[in-house]
Amino acid sequence: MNTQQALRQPPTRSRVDRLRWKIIEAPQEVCVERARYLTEAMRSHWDKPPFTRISLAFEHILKNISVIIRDDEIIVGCRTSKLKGAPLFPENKSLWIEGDLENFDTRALQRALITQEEKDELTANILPYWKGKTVEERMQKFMPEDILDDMDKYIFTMMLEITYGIGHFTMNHERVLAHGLLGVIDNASQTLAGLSPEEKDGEKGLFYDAVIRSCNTVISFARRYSELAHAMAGAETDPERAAELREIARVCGRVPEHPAETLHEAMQSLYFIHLVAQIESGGNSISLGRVDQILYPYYRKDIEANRTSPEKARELVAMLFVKVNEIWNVLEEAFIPGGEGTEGKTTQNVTVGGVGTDGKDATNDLSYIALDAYADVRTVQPDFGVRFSPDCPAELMRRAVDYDRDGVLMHLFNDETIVRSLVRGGHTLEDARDYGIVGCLEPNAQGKTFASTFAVQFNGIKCLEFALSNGVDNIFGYPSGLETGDPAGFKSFDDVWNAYDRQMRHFISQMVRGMNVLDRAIAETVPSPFASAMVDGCMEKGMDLTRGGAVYNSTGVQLMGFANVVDSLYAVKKTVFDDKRFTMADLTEWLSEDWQDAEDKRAYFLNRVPKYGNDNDDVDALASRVIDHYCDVLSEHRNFRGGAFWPGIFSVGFHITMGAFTGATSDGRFAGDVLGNGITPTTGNAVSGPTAIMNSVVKLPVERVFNGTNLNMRFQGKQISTENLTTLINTYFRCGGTQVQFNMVDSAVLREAQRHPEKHRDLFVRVSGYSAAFTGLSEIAQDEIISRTEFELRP
Amino acid sequence: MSQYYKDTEDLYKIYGYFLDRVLRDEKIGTKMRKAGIIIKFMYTDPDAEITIDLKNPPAKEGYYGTFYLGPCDLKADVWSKQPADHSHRFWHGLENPIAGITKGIIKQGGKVTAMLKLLPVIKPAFRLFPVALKEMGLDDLIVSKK
Repeated sequence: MNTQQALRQPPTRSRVDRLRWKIIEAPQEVCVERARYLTEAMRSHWDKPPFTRISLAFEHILKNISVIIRDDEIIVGCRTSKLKGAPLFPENKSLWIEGDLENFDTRALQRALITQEEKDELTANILPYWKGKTVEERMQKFMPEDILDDMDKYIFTMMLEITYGIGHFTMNHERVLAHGLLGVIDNASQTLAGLSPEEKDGEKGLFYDAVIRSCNTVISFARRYSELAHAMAGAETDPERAAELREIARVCGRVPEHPAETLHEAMQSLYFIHLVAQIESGGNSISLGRVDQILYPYYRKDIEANRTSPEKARELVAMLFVKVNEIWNVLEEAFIPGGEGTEGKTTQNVTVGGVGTDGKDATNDLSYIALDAYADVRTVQPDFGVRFSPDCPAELMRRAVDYDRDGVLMHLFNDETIVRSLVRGGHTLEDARDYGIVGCLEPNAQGKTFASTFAVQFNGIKCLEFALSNGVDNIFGYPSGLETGDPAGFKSFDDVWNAYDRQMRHFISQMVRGMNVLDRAIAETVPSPFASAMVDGCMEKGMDLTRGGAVYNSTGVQLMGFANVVDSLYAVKKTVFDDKRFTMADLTEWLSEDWQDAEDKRAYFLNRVPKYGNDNDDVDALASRVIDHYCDVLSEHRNFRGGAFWPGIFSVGFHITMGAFTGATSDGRFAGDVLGNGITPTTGNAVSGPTAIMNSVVKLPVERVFNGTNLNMRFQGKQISTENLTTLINTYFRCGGTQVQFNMVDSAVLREAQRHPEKHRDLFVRVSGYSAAFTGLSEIAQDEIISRTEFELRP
Repeated sequence: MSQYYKDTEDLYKIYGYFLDRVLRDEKIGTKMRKAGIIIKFMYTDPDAEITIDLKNPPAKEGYYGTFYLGPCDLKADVWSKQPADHSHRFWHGLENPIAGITKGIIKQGGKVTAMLKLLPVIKPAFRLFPVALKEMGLDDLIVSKK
């Protein structure tokens, strides 16, 4: 039942604006429907094989969850009964729901409304059922004790997949748009018929059977919308809206079952697929990908047939973009510090521009229309990115930069570097060229990849802390790392490096073992047959996405505190071994005591030792060594799905939380302070201007960082010219930069929003590779964004 | 049945002494003050409630904050709830707080991010807790590391 009250907006607003404000003003809510129907189905089918029971549960959910068409909507489909509703995924982890239940609607951050009836239902009927059955419990059962211990040290996290299941992939929408789900069903049926009797009874047979059931389920779900629209049209008094509802009924009756013919059909089909994949599993950032490439054939056909105009297409695309804002996941309260800005955390990426598989720039009319439509909505979702190839039209860059300096949040990607990087990571050239973005900024071959890009956040600077403390955790004072020798006895910088290397290798190895247990628990408990049918490779192999069915399989591991590792290592090298100004014994004592009674020494390390981000060749060379080392260590391991562990350097909110659990560092940082964000220099230490920062970054082996890097920069938006910013970006990309994103909001505005959050509900900022409502962030995260250096660009 | 505390009054006596030391300690107190929050610790077995105010001016001179034993009207920015025995071992550096949270032994709420600001004071406070017990003549409550 729909509990959402319709919010009527002033009639002067455009349709897009009405929908936009409705979603901005909607409260975040928890919806129990998915969990209810999942649990009902599992009660009946738990003894069946995982593929069968999960697809039967998917069927039961989509047959029963609310179908709602709201005022003004043309693109339809709801994940929950609430406008901004978060479903629950108790099959992954249920203990936290029980713990947070009484707190959802009262907590200070990321508050989510929930009715008393829903709380009661969860307590009485749903959560008790899942005791002993969840992914988390299965993982814990098989996880070695030493890994469980290390997971609690907060050196690496594997939080997301445990809580919600899989996510972070794009799907092959072109295939569904071209052949419809009937095409997928035909393919699965034929393959199933051709299997040997043993295969039919085994995993492959069960997989194809689950795919067929899941696709049929989605077709039925779309028909429910068709029927609802038809009924609503009959009751509608406004003839214009009645006609729209009849068209919605027609479209939903046709797609995604059949191939799409029109732009409206293509967009509705795309949205249904996007939506239901996030009902099947909820691991965030299931992304739309290259919408301008996917939808362009349908747009062109509509234009040629005089069925649409650029203005109408822009409105339709804007409505799709508003619609994805309905999709969000409620975060476990204990993890809020690492997951700042919940609305942004579903990071449903849209990417426009860039080269096609033939290597030629593929920017088209829809690239501009999508960009304009995104500027119309300016909401947290989608996470909008623009790809630039060397041959990209100057107009695309100009328009994107113009919007960017006007505060439209997006990230910009450099095709040349990213394509080279993906090829180096094992992609074919064609697949590398057809990359979409998932998660914060992770490039993946569109519709061919399950890269679990946000699987792990790894605290690199904690490893250096252990290296300089002989394994003692300087926050808690007890042993946590390896005993790599008393640093007072280190004779050279090589000794320091070797200790750091041993700590890194140890904890990466532990993380790999842990991830492989978790991935196995997911594959054995909650396979995703529908998503598998949408990603290339799985149907051919007869293998689920969670098992390694996709063409490309990797696991993303993000290095936290990169700039701190560089600056701290450099400080040790310079002050202790090169200049012999201080001894290791003294330095490690100061670090152990959080610079207590050593403020003059801290000031020296902070202010007098060169830092990364200032175009200093010595420091930047060490930064390159840190990245090469990280990539080398990860490359020695394989994941459960047969793929590689891919290095990434971006931080989401973990530069805050992992910083809190990290002792003092030799870059002059106090214990607990925020770490550097992604590949961005530490706050306040890049004092040579934006060009120097970019010069430092382009010296790094970023092409080896396959999972992506994030460079945050902050400018005084209205005071810089589009031309200057364009020149800066062009130069950065020509020199090999991969990605950059900007915040253009003045500090005064941000401070005002801290004082009067109620007046700034639509003030959005880039946090890491995603956007969030500024007023929904913690004070620490708000302060971190305000503290980022605000650069000027002069001609 | 608590292994370390006879009853609520006993807990208040021990934590009262400990917090009095902590909030007067220049090194620890100055760092705590920086957190600028009001935090409520709730204990079970025995049931107890302690509020530490690091936001408002300290009630007593020479202190960096104010603590209240038992229920108080201050609105806490952040709260934490755990068994009293778990807390007792924690202050000896014998319990991992992350494990406590992930295993559901410790519950917390409110501005949980703000609580992170208190992490740098944990290590020096660990040193002080057994010292406080010793000063109170409660050597038998000092938990030794195995």
